Amino acid sequence: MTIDLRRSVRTYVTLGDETSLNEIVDSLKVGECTLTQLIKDLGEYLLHEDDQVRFKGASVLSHAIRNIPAEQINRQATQTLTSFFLSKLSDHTLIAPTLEALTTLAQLQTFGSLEAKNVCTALFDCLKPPKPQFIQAVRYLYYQLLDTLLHRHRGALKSLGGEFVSGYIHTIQGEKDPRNLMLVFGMNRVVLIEFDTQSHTEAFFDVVFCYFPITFKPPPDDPYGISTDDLRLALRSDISASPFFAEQGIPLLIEKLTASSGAVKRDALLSIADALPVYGPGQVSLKSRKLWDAISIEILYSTDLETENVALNSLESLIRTLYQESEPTDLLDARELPGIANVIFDVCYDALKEPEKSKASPAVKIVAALIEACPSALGRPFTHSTLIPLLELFAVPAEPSQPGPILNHIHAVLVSLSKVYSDKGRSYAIDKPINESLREQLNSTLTSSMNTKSLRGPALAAFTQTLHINGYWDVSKDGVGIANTLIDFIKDPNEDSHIRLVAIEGLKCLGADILQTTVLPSLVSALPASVDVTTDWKPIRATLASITSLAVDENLFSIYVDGVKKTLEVIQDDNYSLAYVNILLTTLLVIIQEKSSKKHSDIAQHSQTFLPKLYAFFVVAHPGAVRESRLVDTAGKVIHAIVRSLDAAQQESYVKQIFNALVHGYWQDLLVSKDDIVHQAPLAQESSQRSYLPLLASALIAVRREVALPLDSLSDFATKLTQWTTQPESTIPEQVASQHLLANLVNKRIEKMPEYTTYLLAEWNQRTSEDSQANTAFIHIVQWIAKGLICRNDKLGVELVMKFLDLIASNSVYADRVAGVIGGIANDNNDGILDKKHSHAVSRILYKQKFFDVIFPEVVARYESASTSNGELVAPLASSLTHLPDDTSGRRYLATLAHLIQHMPKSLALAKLPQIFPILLIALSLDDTALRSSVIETITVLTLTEESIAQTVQQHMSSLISTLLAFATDATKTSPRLRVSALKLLSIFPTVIRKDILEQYKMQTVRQLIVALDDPVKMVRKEAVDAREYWWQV
Amino acid sequence: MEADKINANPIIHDTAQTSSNVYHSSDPWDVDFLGVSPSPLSKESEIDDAHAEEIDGDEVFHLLKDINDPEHPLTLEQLAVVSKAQISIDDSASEATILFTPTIPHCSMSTLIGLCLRVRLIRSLPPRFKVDVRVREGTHQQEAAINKQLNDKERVAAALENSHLIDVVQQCLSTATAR
Repeated sequence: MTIDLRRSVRTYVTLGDETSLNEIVDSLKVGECTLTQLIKDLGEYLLHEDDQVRFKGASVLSHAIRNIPAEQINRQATQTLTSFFLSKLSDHTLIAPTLEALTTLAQLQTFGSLEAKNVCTALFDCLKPPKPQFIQAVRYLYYQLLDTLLHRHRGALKSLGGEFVSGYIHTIQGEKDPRNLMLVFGMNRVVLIEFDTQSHTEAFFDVVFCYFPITFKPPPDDPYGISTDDLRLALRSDISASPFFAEQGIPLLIEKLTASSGAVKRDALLSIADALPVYGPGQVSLKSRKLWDAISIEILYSTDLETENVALNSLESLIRTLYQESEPTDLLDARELPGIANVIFDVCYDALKEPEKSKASPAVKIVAALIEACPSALGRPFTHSTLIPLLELFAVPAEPSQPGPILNHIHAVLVSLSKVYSDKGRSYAIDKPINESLREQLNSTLTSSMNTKSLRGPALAAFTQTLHINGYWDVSKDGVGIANTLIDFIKDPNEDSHIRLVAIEGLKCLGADILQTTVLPSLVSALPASVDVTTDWKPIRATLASITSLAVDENLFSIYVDGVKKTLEVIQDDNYSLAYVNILLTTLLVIIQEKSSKKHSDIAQHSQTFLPKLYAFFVVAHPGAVRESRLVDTAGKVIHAIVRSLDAAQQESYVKQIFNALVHGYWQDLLVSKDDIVHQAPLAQESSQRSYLPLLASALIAVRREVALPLDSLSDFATKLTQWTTQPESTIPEQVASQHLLANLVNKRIEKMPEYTTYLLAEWNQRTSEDSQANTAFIHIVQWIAKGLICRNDKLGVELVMKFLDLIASNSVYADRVAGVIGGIANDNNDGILDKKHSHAVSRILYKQKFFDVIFPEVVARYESASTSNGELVAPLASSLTHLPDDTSGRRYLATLAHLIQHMPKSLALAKLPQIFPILLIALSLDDTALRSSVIETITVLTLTEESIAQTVQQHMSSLISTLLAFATDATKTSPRLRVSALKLLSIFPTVIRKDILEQYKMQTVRQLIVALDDPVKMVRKEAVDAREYWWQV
Repeated sequence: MEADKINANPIIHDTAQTSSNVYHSSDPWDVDFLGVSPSPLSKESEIDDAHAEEIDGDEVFHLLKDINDPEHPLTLEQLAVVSKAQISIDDSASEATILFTPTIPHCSMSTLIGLCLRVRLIRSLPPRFKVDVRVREGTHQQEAAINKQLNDKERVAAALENSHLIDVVQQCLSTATAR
């Protein structure tokens, strides 16, 4: 479609019609008309005497240039258009479209350096005094154009020389708008670094430093999103852009530092830290004394840690600027150092004369900062001059309270050295930060203090730091000795836990060789081969706890596994021995968990060596042990963890061995035995071997989905297992193992088990008609199967939940338990058996959301209809607040809802807040202590995560407060957990609720909480004190 | 501003870490020492298993130890102003005696510190307790005057009417409630 260009132009200019503007651009794009034509047609408007018309004319051209492809503007057109718009710069009516057009042109390839120079000169000219006052948006366009020129034609601008710099400075003077300043600060840095600004230092200093410090606070709901920190960072990069600022800048920064506080003070410190290296040693050394005085106040008299740390940063920057890296010094006395360092040392030295007092710790922080800032020049003198007097004072303390703090200060100095001489750090051998005599003195002091109980903590911490200093020790020579000293600490059960951690950290520094040859063998041999009533368990526990952190890597782990294997072979049958095996296995499990989180691949190799020994322990050596459910539980977890790490092929052959034992009673394959070991099959009718099911089931749960099971029919197996579980002789551990296995099987292989699901549904009615042990076991199996199915979004899962809900409607004998069962189904906790990582289970994303999307509205609907069908006229849920339904079905649905909400995904709960909050409030009146506690805990979590809930809470403040106070103060009718949770919720109100509302309840709450202060349970009293204190502060 | 402090460079004491030793359980089946995290269910029942305990010196010390010194950003425990040994509690007789040690014998903040202790105890001990807050013998020049002031109900009540004073006390107490 061809358009009449002239008419479109006219329509736009006279009527402001956007469509005709777009038509013009479109026709230019497809080449139906040319820019020349457009300019010709625009001619009269561009020169029109009416400002409005001229503005529109220029806008058409500017808009067209911005929207047509760059190739359509050739070199000549660029030149023409540029000079055209340049001539319009003086016409302030047209300034916005002109600047926009020039910015577009300046980005074109065809825009040459001559144009760049011309544009730049013209830009500066148009600001010649009297400087016109443009509005913010125009100034923004202006800076944008300048920024584009700086970016693309820096060379051309440089050739303008001083003229550019002075023009630039004039341009940015007086700018106040934060959006513009962000652009200006960015350009400043470029100009300061790239251009020769020395002759304009003073003027430039004024336009940069006049903004310091930035105190701008963004208005609430600022659409531009410029924060105080954005501006601070940008300005800081200007301040530190040019060495010429040094002379005037340093005094100004010092002045602002001393005069300010809080965030502004930190800004000043950070600016100093950034600027000093740029300003250079010459200028900085002239003012070093003043800088030190100002910075040191923030460290020595620190009020908050954040400022103190920032001050230490700027101190390090000061030192790095003054003492640049050089040849390592031989100097030992810091007082002989040139420059500010000896002044600093004197201050620290004085403070460290009283090491137990509060000024000593900032002083040692300063020493550490200096060592780290310039190890070559300052490390050696500062280390010696600080440590030697401290060690002397330690030998002859002036006060009995001094030794501990002295060791802490030595520790701090050693930490700084260990940072400098870490694995990839500087060379200790070249720098020699500690000479032989100091090293000996240090070692003897630390070693002897480690043997003094009261000083052990700080001495050991300092000693461990020496192990971190690469080069301080010769591990091949001293390693074994050090290891033996440290091992004694970790074996000692009376040692503080943090001492053990530090010693373990030290042992790890000694390297894998020492750990393998000395440390682990020593620990494992410290474990007894047998235990009895006289055994002292404390050293065993301490040793095992240490093993969990040391025996993680492959060879070290094997040493421990071999130790456990030996113990399994020789251990006795009694209760103590079984408890001992239990803690050995738990330790093993903890290490395996650590290994799998580190993705170690050597777990699987123990399936052929360790697992047979473990099964043999239960099957051959100690048949009675299988009745000890705690041990079976632990062993099951170990088996599960090892089988899980096998690959599919290994699992396939392993599964055959498991089923041989489970279904046929043939154990010899599993035990890797040459002789036949045949028992009654655990799954056989009235088997005496039933209790082996948990140990075998835990291996099966870990099997991958793709592994084929050696069964003719999985459904038959599952049906048989279900019937077996409901037999009267089944024990709780057997039932749990069976529930887990069945849930895991349907989760992974439901498509192969249609007959099994038919069986379950067929049994359902009869199994729920009468309350019996067998039926309860059946119901728990169905509960777990529902859990397994819901994880994979199978619709049968929801169907089963509906069946449970129907039990409420039909007033079944199990109706009262439905709420708990459905809560259990919704609960995330599945003992790991339905976990993708943990058991290779199928777990679809967002399955929980989908489950709640179906079930929650269903229960709400049933709840509402139960309440109304009872003859009451109950309004929809949201408004029936304090209303507890009289009807039992209604109450059961309500309890179900309360259980469901506790396990709702947080995002969903927040979305449904207006609906669920009233439910939670009504549920508080259900007479169920545990449910009340969980409901309160749910409200607490919701209130803490979502601020908007405070609104809802406020509406129900009066009833909520009296309910919570009633719970909190009645020690006879409630549980401690309910009282604790009620008090916790009460104590968060003061931080989330509006003050005027709080004030109405302050007196009531503070007065009634007095009762809880005298609660018999300590934990409740503690919460009561906190809650009351928060309310006092309202 | 630093010179204004009455004791600008006080001694800092190590704060006692009360870590109950995990190895000392008498039950051979106990595996808590391995740091195996108990399931959330057992954590809940653990609270419910809590048995009745009398209020003792330990508990009261925990109420007081984190109160801030009016001069320094340090707690009364770090400055050894309060310590366990100087707190005696008799729950059955409802008596509490708290002695405190000023950092220096001429400390003019002692009355304020005593007031902070008293306010904290009024708010957090059951009202049946008779609370006695005193300066430890021989640690302050004006011991008798301070003790008299601190244990005079009228004067304490009058002090708490003073809004400036209550602000200062509140400031010191703000660290006592850990959050």
